[in-house]
Amino acid sequence: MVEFDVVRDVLDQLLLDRNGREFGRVDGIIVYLRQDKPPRLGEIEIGTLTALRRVSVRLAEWLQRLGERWSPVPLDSVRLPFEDVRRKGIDVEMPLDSEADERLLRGEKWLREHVIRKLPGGKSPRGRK
Amino acid sequence: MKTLKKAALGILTSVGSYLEVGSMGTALQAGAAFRFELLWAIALGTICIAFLLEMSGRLSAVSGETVIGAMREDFGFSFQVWPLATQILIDLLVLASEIGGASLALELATGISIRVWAIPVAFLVWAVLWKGTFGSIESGVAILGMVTLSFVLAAWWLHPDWREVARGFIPRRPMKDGAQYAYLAVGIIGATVSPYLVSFYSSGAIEDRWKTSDLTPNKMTAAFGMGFGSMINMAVLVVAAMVLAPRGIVADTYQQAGVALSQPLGRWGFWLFCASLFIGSVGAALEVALDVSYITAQTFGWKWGESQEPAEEARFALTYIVAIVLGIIPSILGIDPLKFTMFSMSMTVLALPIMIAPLIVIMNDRRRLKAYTNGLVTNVAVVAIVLLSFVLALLAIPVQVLGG
Repeated sequence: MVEFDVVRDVLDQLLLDRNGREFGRVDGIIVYLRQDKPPRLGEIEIGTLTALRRVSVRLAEWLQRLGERWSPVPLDSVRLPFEDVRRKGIDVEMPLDSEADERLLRGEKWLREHVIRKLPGGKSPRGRK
Repeated sequence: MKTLKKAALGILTSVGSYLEVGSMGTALQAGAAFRFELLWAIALGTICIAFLLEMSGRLSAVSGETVIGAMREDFGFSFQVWPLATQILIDLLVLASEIGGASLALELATGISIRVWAIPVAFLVWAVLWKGTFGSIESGVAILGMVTLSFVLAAWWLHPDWREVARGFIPRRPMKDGAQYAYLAVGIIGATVSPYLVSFYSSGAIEDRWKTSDLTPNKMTAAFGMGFGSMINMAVLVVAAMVLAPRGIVADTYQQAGVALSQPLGRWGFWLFCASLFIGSVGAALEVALDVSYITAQTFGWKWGESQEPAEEARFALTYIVAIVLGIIPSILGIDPLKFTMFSMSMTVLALPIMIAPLIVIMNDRRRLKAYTNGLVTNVAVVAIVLLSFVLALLAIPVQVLGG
């Protein structure tokens, strides 16, 4: 049995995939309230809209509308099962490959292919300079 | 021996990259208008930034976390968004000032307008960030930045009355124009205590993989690097006091201030002035543009690091490109770089409390820093200087703005 303080140890922590690659921060935690039973931790949520909703719901809705109209990739937040959350030092590790998982790093992958690789010198192989 | 070598490198890097458009512009104006009377403001700002850099280096060495990352984890996004937005805004103002400074140095040297030079300068900044690594940028800026030592040489040759210089370290009522005196003091402090230095230094500590064994070099770099660096800034003020003030040159444009080094160093003085302004400004522009990427990436949990290829971290690279593009706007619009710099530096002081207060809380958190939390002296010194500067800015900025 692993004990978590979900706000202190999980919310806002850096997310690493199984290869140690950063793929965001825990922007929200979904808890299911059940009748006559203790609440159940459902998923963690990743996405700018989730983070922004914590600041201002109106601002998040405005960004959502803007994204639906103009963004080349969906801005919807992604949910991952809480049961997969593992602590790695001060970070949170998930058993997945963020580069291969189509739900994750959508903006990063789109910018890499459509902007960065089109700039002079942007075609260099990935990795360290 | 290894510790000493690391410390020496850190000190050299800090000294070489100390002078930039903000510190140079504010010191030139202060020396021209009030001779040595504002030296205390440089000293006060230096004490504050030395403490802040030591703190941010210690945080990264002990916890493996950057200031911005720790801020998000400890305070949550709903709080952190405010210091983050403030810092991005301040960084963009400073970046625009630096691009303006470098472009103006080229205008002084060639006679071609800064409006023309702004784009090549921005392109140079982008190209260095695009292809350079953290280490190469850090050492390149430091080595080229040694040209700014020409101000120290000039100040020495001008034989100022050192007793009068020493009196400048004690704040006293100015003989004339109190509003401008206070505004310049705020500008000097803003140029010295730039928040980008704090997040940049802590990100650099992670890039260089600091550990607790690096705490001694960290302390020495913060104290001596900033200490010796501030001597260059003080030398700029002394040179302005000795050369510009007696001639009644108020130095409210760089064109007027350009003669500062010509008297002590002759024909070479003018070229050294241009080179110092250009190299200092480009060096700082590189650091500030990178800082915008650092703080955004660390807030949102993107992969980050200047030593990675742009394709490895597209959002990180795109962020500094956008910042550089925004940074050239004031120069292209023809806004006076020195006035814009003064405005940016005073805005920095107003923004300091919201950016420094969370850092002080983090630095006193035993869970994160274990036995390495702040001592009483560090807490009191930083809080007192930041609050004092903030109050001074609240008083000085409206008076200066209303008075034109």
